[in-house]
Amino acid sequence: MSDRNKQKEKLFHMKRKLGFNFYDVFVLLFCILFAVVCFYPLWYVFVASITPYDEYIKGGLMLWPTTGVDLQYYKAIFSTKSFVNSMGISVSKTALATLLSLLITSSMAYGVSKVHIRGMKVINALVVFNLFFTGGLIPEYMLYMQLGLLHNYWVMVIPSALNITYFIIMRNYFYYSVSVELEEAARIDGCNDIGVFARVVMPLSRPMLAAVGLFIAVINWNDYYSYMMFISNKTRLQPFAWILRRMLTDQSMMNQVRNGAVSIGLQLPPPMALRMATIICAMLPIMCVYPFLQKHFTSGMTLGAVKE
Amino acid sequence: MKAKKLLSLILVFALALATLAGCSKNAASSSSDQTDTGAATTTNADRENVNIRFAQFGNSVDDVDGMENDPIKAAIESAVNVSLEYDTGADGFDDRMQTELFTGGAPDLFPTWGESDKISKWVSDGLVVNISEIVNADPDRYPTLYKVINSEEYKAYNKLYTGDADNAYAIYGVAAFAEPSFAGVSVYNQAILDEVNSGAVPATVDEFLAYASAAGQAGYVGWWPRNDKLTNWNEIDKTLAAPQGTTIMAPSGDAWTGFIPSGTLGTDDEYWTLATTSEKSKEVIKQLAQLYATGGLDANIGVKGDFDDAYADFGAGKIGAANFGFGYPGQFKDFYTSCWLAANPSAQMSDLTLGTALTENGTTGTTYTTGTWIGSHYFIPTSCENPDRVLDLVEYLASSAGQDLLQNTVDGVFDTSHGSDYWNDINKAYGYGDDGRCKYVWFSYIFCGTEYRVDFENNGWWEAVSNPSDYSEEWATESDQALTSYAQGIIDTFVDSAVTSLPAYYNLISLSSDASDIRTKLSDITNSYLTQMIGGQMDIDANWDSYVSEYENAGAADLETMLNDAIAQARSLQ
Amino acid sequence: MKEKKKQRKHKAPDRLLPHIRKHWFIYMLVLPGFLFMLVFNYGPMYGIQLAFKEYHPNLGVFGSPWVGLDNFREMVRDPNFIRALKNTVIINFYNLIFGFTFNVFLALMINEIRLKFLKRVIQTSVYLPYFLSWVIFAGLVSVFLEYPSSGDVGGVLNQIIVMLGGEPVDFLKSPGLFRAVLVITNIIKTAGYSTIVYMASLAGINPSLYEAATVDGANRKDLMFHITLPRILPSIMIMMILQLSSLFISNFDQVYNLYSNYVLSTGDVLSTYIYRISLGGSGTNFELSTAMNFILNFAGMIIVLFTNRFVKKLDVMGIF
Repeated sequence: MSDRNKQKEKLFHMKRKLGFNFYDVFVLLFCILFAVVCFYPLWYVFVASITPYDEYIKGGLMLWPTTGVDLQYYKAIFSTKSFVNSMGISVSKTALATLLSLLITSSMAYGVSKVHIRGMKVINALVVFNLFFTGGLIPEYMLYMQLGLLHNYWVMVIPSALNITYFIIMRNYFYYSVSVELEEAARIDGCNDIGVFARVVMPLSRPMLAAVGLFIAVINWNDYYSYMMFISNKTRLQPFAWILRRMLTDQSMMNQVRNGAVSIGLQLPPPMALRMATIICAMLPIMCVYPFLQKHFTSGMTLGAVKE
Repeated sequence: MKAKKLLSLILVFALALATLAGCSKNAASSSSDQTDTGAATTTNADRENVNIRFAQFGNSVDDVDGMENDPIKAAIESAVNVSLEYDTGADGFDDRMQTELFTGGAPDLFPTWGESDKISKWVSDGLVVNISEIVNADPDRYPTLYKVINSEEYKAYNKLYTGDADNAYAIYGVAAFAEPSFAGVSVYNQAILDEVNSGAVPATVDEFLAYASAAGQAGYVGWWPRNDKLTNWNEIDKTLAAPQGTTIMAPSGDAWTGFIPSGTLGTDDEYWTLATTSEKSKEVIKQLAQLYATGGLDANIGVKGDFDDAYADFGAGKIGAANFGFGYPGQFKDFYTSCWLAANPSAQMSDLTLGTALTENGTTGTTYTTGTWIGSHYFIPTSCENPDRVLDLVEYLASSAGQDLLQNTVDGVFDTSHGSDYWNDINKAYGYGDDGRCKYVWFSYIFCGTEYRVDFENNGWWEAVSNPSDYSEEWATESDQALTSYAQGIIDTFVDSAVTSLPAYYNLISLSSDASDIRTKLSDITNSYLTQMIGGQMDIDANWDSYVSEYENAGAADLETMLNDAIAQARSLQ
Repeated sequence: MKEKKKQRKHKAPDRLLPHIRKHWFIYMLVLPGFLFMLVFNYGPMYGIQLAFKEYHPNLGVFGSPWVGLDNFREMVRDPNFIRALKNTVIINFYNLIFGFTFNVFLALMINEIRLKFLKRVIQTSVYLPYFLSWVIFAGLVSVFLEYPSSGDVGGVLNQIIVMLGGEPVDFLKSPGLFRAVLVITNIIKTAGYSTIVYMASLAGINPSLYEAATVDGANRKDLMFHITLPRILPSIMIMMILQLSSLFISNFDQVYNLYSNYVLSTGDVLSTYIYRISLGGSGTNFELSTAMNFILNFAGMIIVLFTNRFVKKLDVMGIF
């Protein structure tokens, strides 16, 4: 190593130790600014949901609940029976659908990423074709009817098991990020295909599995269409996303919550405030899962044994 | 590889077969063998107890316990000897109904809005049951329905919707309002009225414009007409354009909307002229643009919503005058409680003042109406297994006993033994508030688009639905009654001059689908031009001609001819 | 990458059955997804023919009569359809140019943050708007961009503009600004989402690579351009292709909740247009919506096939 390089290296480490240079400041400013822009809308909703209504309608930036915290909207929501029930449905169907979908999508994506195995390219083309073309509502409805999925809990879980978008993303990821050399090495150590998949591929793909799992979970958490179209009349199967949707568009749902609030001795809550509180409730569970998954896709740096 | 291909081929083939088989099975399960010709003494109690799924828009079925304890539901079930299953929805409801109908899974009795294109397609595709066939085969079993569907007027509606007068495929939800309904009255915030107008309620167009501008200058929003983001011009039109003898509405809704009549209504020389693009309308738009520029209209009108944003602003005392369709007195009560009282818990009735219809040169604007409301029509799908039993249900509901049960009456007289608490408790299970409506919320639109009691026993179909009984005055709580009668009192002073009744045959005007296409285009043009002209993005004088020419290109003149022809045709049907 | 190509060549023709027996586990992995696809994706696929048919429910999809291109003709007859199509493509194109680039840039920037805690907080914050539905988010956007009216100072952004001595801007009512509003709100709502895909790819990079490069005298710019960017290039390309695939499909919820009659000329997209004209019509027109989806997705597929070729030239795996 030449002297110049040594000097450079020293400088680099010095900078690192000393902390920020101009570049770092730019990076931080940019990121923080954008983060604030993203965070503020949610914060606004949150503050509005705990601000007394006569304060809220005066307007303002809702930076802080200046006039005291008022949790009555949350009380109203949680005193409504269908809310609590729908939370349970949402959690269970999201968990089941996400697990199933992740399992099916990722294992298929891994298989298809082995492009040298016969038939995989054809299967890949067959899958990707679905990105562009679907049969439409009527044939889907008929199919679910024949499979006995109509008005059935499982219609919210099963039909969406293969997610085309994430199939493509994961197949690509497996192709690039899981090194063939490593697989070969494992094979030499006596692993068969199963061993390679379980002991090498899956652990290595944790960041992507976590990220895709999160996305699929969010999709399932927010999905109300499958209930609306294919179940529709089984009150006890309503997912929370559907309740939220109804809070935004359907007078009868809103009335129900407002009546409930009055019957537990609260003041008749205005719709706008109830909506804000419902939005927060709708986000909370998935927000709780987020940190556990985030760990996986940001700290992958320590994994070490990656390609090359 | 080959094996794989073969396998997939087989799978696809099997699947296709399964689907085909499914289709044909569905199509085959029609219901021609359902004509039960029991003896005259057979009653519902002797007939098989079946499950009937009934769908209605906009209720809720979340409260399972409340539903189980619903005495009205139980009473209907025991009277007809069926078990009822309620089905409802708001978002996506129509889509679902149509999908279920097309795939053979529709509820046994379900609603849709009455567009003749849709209904006649359903009929020709054999998707809905011919009610006449079943009812006429057994008049003793369905006496009320027999009378209803064989009335001349009912047949006229059959002809209107399907072209076949003798066969009824739907229960029509057509009815008159007990009171004439109209739009174009503002409610004023009295405090702002006091501040900028010495408390005087504007009576003429000029006074109103002056007030709205003055309120705008004083730091308020002068006027908020309900406008659905400037796609619904009705309130603006009726408030300002009607008194000036014109209309700025695009042809939409009623067949004659956007037109002004000349000649004597009801005779051969009546003629309707398109007024949307007239010079008078241009003047009205200029007044609106002027209002907008001076703060008389909210700077964000067309962007902000009515019920969230405008209600909140009005409740917070930022708006001088608001229109939300108070021609229907109950709506003033609703506005007062949900908009004003909700934001100002210590409010008093005197905080708000209901204005009158504005005048220009001493005349009030005119609302042309037949006085009827066309609600949703109810159908029985051909996939229904027991259409005769569904009609038993309909027959019961149409009878005096059924109407008494639904409408809280005894032999047509309001039943005072049930307080409004009794009804509130029942209806709360279905997502209604403490609105004190002393009647049942299911089956409320069937027969009668206005949810009133109809008396088929003593009247023919048309007499019954055009003279329904409204009991709203009898049930109201004291404060509600005060609000409603206040509004009623004011409305009574001008309603005779503000509403012109059209001859009954105007109900039978049927426009072709070409005409509907033109109407849709015209609405789009109007929405876009008027919004930009009022918002100051477009100079009115410079662009009015292109507005008019876009109208011409979209077929405005043709529409005028089509309308007058359709009116003439309806007149001749009479 | 070279090795991979070689490897593929090495796997020269062997017989089918032994090949399957050798890779049985891989086939087993693919099988469940394959079956799901056949049943739930290809099962209803026969419905596409409705695009060329007049649907009569009693005759079923197969029995309904063919009408050739009538459904498509009905679609293109209207000049407003063309305007809506144009707006859709332009807006999506802007989304691609600005939104897409921004997302990559944001991911790189977040990756550059060295304070682990801060990095996490920022990543979480930018992901948050993804949870809000467009109805809510658009409502908030309207609140923040509100134009001052009498007695009202307007939204936050206009307050800031006025504070800095500028004239308030009427964002939501100016046709010239509306597309910008759409693109920017779309960035804010979805940037965090794409960032996570990139971060997950970045997580797979071996830190020793950076160390080695640093020792060789690379500065941080070099590291970014020569290590980070090439590593996530495949992901970037895939995300680009996916976005291109919906070039003709617009986000109904976003546009519907933000647009108004003021901005129809630049903001009316296909989905809102169809919604508006079918409101007064006779319910869902299955043929028309199938035809529309068919043609727009077909166009999307053509574009993707084209891009896919280009991407493969960069020696990156495409989607086909």
